[in-house]
Order: sequence, then C-alpha cells, then structure tokens
Amino acid sequence: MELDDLKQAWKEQNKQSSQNQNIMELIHQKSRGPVASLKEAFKKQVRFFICLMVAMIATQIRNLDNTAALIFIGTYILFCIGVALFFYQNYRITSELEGMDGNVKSSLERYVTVLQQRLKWQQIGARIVMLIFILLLEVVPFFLHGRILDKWHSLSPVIRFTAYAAFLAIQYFVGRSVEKQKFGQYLIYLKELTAELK
Amino acid sequence: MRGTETEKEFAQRISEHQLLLHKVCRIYAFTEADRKDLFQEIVIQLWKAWPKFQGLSKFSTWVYRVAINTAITTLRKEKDFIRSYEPAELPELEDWKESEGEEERLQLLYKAIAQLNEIDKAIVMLYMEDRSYEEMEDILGLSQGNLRVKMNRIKDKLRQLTKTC
Repeated sequence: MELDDLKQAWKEQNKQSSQNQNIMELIHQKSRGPVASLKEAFKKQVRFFICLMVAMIATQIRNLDNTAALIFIGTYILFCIGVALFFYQNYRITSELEGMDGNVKSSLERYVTVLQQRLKWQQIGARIVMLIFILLLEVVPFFLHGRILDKWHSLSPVIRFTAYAAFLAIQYFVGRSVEKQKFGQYLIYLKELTAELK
Repeated sequence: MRGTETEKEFAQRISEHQLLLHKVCRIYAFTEADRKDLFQEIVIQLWKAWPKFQGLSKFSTWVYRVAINTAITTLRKEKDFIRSYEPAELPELEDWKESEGEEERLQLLYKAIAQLNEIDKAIVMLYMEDRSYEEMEDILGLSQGNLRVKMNRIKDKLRQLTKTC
C-alpha cells in the first residue's frame, strides 16, 4: 500500500465523516484531562486544610487560656497553612502544564519536567508532614496529657524512635509505589515519546 | 447560545477548522465516545490558549499544535492506562464498515496507523494532509531532515503492516 495513492481518498473520506459540533457549547464545558483532574485535586486539598484551620480556630478560640494551649494551637495553624501552601504550590506547578500551544517537542519536554518536579515535591512534602507529625507526638505530651500519648511516652525512646524510622521508611516505599502506579507508566510513555522527538 | 464577541469569533474560526479536529480525533481515538471526548478536550484547550494566539504562525498550525499536544497527553486513563498501539486495544478490520476499493484500503491504513506511536501518527496525518515539511517542523519541533527520514521509515513500516493485515 502506498500512502500517496490514498491522499485523495483520505481527504474525501474526512469530508464525509465530519459532523458539526456546537463550539460555543463546548467551550463552556469543564476540561476532563489529566491536568484538570490534578488541578482539581490540589484545589480540593487547599480548601480542606483551610477549612480544617478555620474549624480549629472556631472551636478552640475560647480555650486559649494558657501558653501551652497557645503554642499547640499556633503550631497546628502553622502546619495547616504550610500544607495548604504546599498544595497551592503543586496547583501552580500543574497549571504550567496547561499551555498546549507550543510545538509538540518542547511541550512534551516541559510536560515531563514539570510532572517529575511535581512528583518530587509531593515526596518531599509528605516527608515533611511525617516529620512534623513525629515532632508533635514527641512534644505535645509536655503540654497536654492524654491516655494514648502518655502510654506511648511510657515506652522506651529506642522503641519509639525505631517505630518512627519504620514509619518513615514505610511512607517512603508506599509513596513511591503509589506514585509509580499512578504516574509511573504515564511518565515512561511520555519519556518514550520525548525520546522519539530527539 | 449567546456569547461574547470573543467567544463568537473563536467559535467561528474553530468551526472553519472542524474537519482538521475530526481528523486528529480519528487518528488518536478509536471509539465514537472517545472521539467525542477528545474533540471536546481539544476545543477546551484551544479556548484556553486562544488569548495567547498572536497570529505569529498560521491558524491551522496553531490548531494542529494544540490538538496533537492535547491528544498525546490526554491518552492517559485514570486507572487503566492504555497505549493506543497495544494489540488488544486495536479495532478489528471486520468491525469497520465493509466497502470495496479505496474506502477499504483507507480503513486498512487506519488500522496500520493505529499501531504506530503517537508521534509517527502525527507525522503521517500531517503528510496525508499535504502539509509542507516546514509546517510540520513548526508543529512538531523536529527538523525537516529528521522528518524526512522518519517519514521514509513510517512508509516502510506501514507497507509491512498492511501486508500482514
């Protein structure tokens, strides 16, 4: 089969198969592509942490009667702000992927770079959250007393810190595995296409 | 539907290039539902990119860029990621409307094109559309020399594929 022999048929056939779509209607639809899904997920996470912070302030504002409670709530609010900012940063990075009007080669290269950057930041962010969580677990009992926390602190520091190390290791491997499952194949596919353009 | 002047102008220009978008959808999506989804996604991306279009390149070149970029990056399914050239996902020749002569050969060509990678699909499509190598370079970002070499390889591959079908 020779491609050139089919050029005329190609053009004719496309004329026959075309359907008129209402463009005005389509531009008001929401994008359902991977970038839009990622952006939506980050937007939801930002909103969730802001709501969590507001809820904490609203319920605890009357209980700020001592320095310990103030430090605890303050740390919690800073944590929420930090996480919300982190997700906002991810949202911003993902938005950079929306420009689809560059040539295919440069767009794909940018897409791969930004996606890798986003995944790297996600891993770093998750580790920071884990470290803050561990820090709070160690510090909070000095200010607040609870049955579970007291029990935890009655264990030897060796056991506690071994558990933290195991927790961090599990988070690292689970995080990587989830990422690989969600984006790994997609990234490999994009990298292969990028290589085709070199 | 009522719309702003910008929306009307955009809709008018895209309507004039609907054929081009249908060709991209036909190349990159196999089912009618997927083609509709891809068409919608391309139009949305074109609309988002519209404020940045300054007329530095031909309108059709700009449309091709957005359409191919969208098709390539939208191929990912949320859970079951597929590559369009996986044999199990390819449409069967028997599924297509049977007709004699050129139409049948064209369907055979579509089946063969479906087995190429996404970049080669774009190259074949632009070649069949009689786009110059200069414009193809502008759309894909590959040098004209590279495009010519790739085109020859694609022709050989398509010859092989259509022999085995």
